[in-house]
Amino acid sequence: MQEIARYRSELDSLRNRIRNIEGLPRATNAVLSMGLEAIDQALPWGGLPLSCIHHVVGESEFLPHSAFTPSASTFVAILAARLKGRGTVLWCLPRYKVADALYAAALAVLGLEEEDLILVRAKDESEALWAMEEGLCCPDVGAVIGSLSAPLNLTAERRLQLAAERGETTGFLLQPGTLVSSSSAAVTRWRVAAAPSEEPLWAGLGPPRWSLTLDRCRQGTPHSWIVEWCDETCNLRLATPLCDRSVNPVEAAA
Amino acid sequence: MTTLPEAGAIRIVAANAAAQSAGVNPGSSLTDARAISPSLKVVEANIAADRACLDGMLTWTRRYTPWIAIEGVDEHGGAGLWLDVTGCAHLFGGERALIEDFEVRLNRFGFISRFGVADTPGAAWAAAHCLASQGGAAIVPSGEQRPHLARLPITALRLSARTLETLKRLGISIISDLLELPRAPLTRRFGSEVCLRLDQLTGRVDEPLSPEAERLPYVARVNFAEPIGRTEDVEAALLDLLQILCTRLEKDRKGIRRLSFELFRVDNTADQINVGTAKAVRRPEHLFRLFREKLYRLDAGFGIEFLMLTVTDTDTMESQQERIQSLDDSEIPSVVNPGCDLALLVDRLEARIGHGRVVRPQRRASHIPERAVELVPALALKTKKNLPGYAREATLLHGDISSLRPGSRPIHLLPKPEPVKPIQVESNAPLARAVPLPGFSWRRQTYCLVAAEGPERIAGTWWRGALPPDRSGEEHSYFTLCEDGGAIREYWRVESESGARFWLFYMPFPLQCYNNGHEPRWFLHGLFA
Repeated sequence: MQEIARYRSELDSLRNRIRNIEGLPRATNAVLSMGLEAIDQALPWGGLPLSCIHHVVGESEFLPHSAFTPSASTFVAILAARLKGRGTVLWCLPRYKVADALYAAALAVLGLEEEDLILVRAKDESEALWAMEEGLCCPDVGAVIGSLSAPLNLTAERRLQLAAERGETTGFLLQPGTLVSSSSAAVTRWRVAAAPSEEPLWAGLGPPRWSLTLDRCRQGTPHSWIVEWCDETCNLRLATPLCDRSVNPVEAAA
Repeated sequence: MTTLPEAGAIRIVAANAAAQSAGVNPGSSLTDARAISPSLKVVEANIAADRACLDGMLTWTRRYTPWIAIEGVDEHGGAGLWLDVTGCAHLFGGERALIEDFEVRLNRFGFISRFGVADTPGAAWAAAHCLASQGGAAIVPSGEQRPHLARLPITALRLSARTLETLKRLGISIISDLLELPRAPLTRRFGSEVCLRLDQLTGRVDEPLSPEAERLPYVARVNFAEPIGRTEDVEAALLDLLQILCTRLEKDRKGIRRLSFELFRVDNTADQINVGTAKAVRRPEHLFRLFREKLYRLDAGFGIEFLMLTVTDTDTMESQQERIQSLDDSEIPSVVNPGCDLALLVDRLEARIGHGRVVRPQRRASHIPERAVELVPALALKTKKNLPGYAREATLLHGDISSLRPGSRPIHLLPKPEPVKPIQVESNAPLARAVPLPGFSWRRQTYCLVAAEGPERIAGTWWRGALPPDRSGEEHSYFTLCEDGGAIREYWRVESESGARFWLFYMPFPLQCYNNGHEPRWFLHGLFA
């Protein structure tokens, strides 16, 4: 019995060492609940860890190289809106057109009011990355979002990760799916794609659905869900699988 | 004609030439003046505004001499300026030339002026008030006050009203009468006033003018005995200069909005770095960090010998407590001034990325989707209560945009609606839900629709009427339609097979001007999550 306890403590210290090597903030770090128990439990920290970088990949079916990733943008906006209590949300965008394309009236419904949001319309990717790094170091900023439409190298991601740890701010990297490389310095990587919605009881459209995939996660395992945005509760909920639609293959395999 | 209430009656303070020719004189009561001329135009006097105007004029007269003072705005409409032109007149070609120049300029500003020049302020006052006429300056030659001014009435002596009244009762009406009287009984009777004024007129008693202090611009500079070249040295000097300026500004309750830093090299070349801030700032460290972004590409050349820091724009800023000091002198790390770091961040971002690139979306009171949001500078956001009154009518008719149904607006709104081509698809699955069109192609990709919701009809601002025709080359294209009177869009939220959602609109009434054969009727305006 004692031996087991000893092994366990040894295992814990090993885990901590690995965590330190990986550069993940301390285990006691604050987490953000995703608002969904199933997702929170799939994450080894019991929620989305703060003070680090998260990668959100938008699987946009239209335009392979476009920065239009409405599902991923919405997902990030929902997460950032929960962090606005810690300070202003900084959204860095490299192209002017896309910055103008973000529609504040829709963001406000997601909880990101205009007082909470600052848009940085950078000239190019490197300027946007610089602005992100500056924002991550600022104590008055709650979350930094960077919409990037060029591939990122590992050094840039690592720099952002270090800045996030230093400034204790959470960063979200938003990228279209076609650009993502396999290696990443981010703590988690999510893939968000639109999913067919359920037919409502009334005429019209049901609540929007996304297939949400936890693609990479340090110390965790990949997962996939189909979630639905509920307007009334301003929260995510798990969608019940449909019998007459194809279920997400990953979920089916699990 | 201007008036002021005084001792129970309304007295006339100043009257223009027309009123004076009608017999209305300053000092009489308004009732009397009305009796003389019922058609008088009466304005209440504004002494404070007169004073402010005179202040401005005083600053301007610095072009003639640095030694200037305000004589004062009294309750009787008198307003005057003192200029000590000793040693300055020759620069303008003599006293008369100076006055001519002065008068022409004042005339152009719309002022009526009278000038008196003399050895002493007292004599100049007398000359200006009693000897000079409009356009005819009175210049008393040096040392000749007595012969020139002796014939003037005693009102030229700047005596109090009571003294004047008594003197008049005694039969003394001109200055020479007073000059002939023995001084001792005069002093016994009136105190020192009369003799003092006489002596100031003749120059027996000096009357110094206290000049108005010049308002120095916010400039700080530093000279180096040896030219410097290291960036660290420049930074240290800059921090010192910032400290000096910030201390000065704090006294004046001002903050810096724009700064210009000039570096002069030994080989007679100069460099300039400008920074701006989003709101008034007075922290040297904050400003220093803004410069630091730009100092790295500084080229010292053969060395810098002179630095100058100029505040080019200021804003009022009340004193703020920067930090709390506890009793044992250790700083308590508490946020006394929240938002301070955010302002610094915004300034740094703007310094590098460019002005107007760090913005906030601001919602406006408009029901037209693309006009409901505008981008404003990050720290200039207005609260919801004072939304710009872009279209009051729109607010009244359609309410605030926040009252929209959640989910009815897309997260990406295209800057311009893009025309899409409706297509026919042979779908295997039956169309379960009513869709307005089976599919469309946008940017060379085809989407089949399975579900839709709508239409939401949004009409243009018909109450504003049609646009003027010469607005731009595109004035009749579909983007500006909403401004054009009467245009209607029918918005649909549609979902494709894969679950992607679009915001399409249909124009039920096509424009006559868009009739080159195939007019697009369907447009894509936004993308939903």
